[in-house]
Amino acid sequence: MPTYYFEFCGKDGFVDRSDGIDLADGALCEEAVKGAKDLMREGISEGLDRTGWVAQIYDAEGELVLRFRFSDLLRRE
Amino acid sequence: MTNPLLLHLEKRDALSPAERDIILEMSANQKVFPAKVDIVREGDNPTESCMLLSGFSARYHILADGKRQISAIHVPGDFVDLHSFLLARMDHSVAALTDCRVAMVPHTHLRELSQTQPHLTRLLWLSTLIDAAIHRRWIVTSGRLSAAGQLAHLICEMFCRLQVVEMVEEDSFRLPISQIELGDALGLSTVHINRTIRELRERDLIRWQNSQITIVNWTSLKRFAQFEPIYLNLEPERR
Repeated sequence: MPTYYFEFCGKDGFVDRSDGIDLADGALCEEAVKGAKDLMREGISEGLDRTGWVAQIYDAEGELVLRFRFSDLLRRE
Repeated sequence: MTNPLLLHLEKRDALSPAERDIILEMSANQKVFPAKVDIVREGDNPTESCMLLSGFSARYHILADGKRQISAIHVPGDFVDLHSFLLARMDHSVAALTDCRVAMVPHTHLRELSQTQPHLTRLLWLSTLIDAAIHRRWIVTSGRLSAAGQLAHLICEMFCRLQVVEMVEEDSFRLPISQIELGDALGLSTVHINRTIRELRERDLIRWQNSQITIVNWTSLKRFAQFEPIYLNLEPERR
């Protein structure tokens, strides 16, 4: 299973870096989106708006393989 | 190595020599299931129940969209599908999380035991009641605790359950379960599980290296997790 490193970048230069996470082939996008939603949900429960955060995911060689804004995951009702 | 079901039951009540022999006889027919393989599947109508002798297994459901929810983690000494003796058709599956050695106990044997061994029958009933108590506690923690609280609670619970079957050394135990499986158990993404383990480490509550968990401060971890082990019924009593 490939290893990935997740960075979640908040406002004011705050960066939350994960340890290496082993994910099944092809599971990266789904896991990244689920992770971002978990973070937004946790933020809401603490009264924090994390929709401005950005996710950046690197592979084991340090190559950026995925980047998205949390707000990209939200749809307007 | 002492039979883990003996340890599990004798933590809660004394067994007579004859009852101990019956448990040991029940463990005679053994099978090995490699990691990731199903021990029993949803929809099955088993004629045997499975007593876990070594390894870790999990009860799980697969939803229509393919997502998996783990509803229980089993440790040695657990009779993982004792309820299939009376419920007949399995409403969930049980999979080996690691290589597992399992004693296969025929339902005919359980029926005979229930007719001739009332005390042992009550203790096996107790075992299913403890299962149910664990399920209730999981509902409470998943509904009301933060991700870190849920994981801390699970660590406290596993520590106590593994202590019963002599799989704890001082403050340390092995939990050979992947972050993906922990995510499936707690309803969280693997990414969030990874962050949550880090949070518990940074709070200086645990150390977690590979599969080895060391509890740095039991009192603080318990308080953080709001963990009270009463639901595990760890006190010996005449039952």
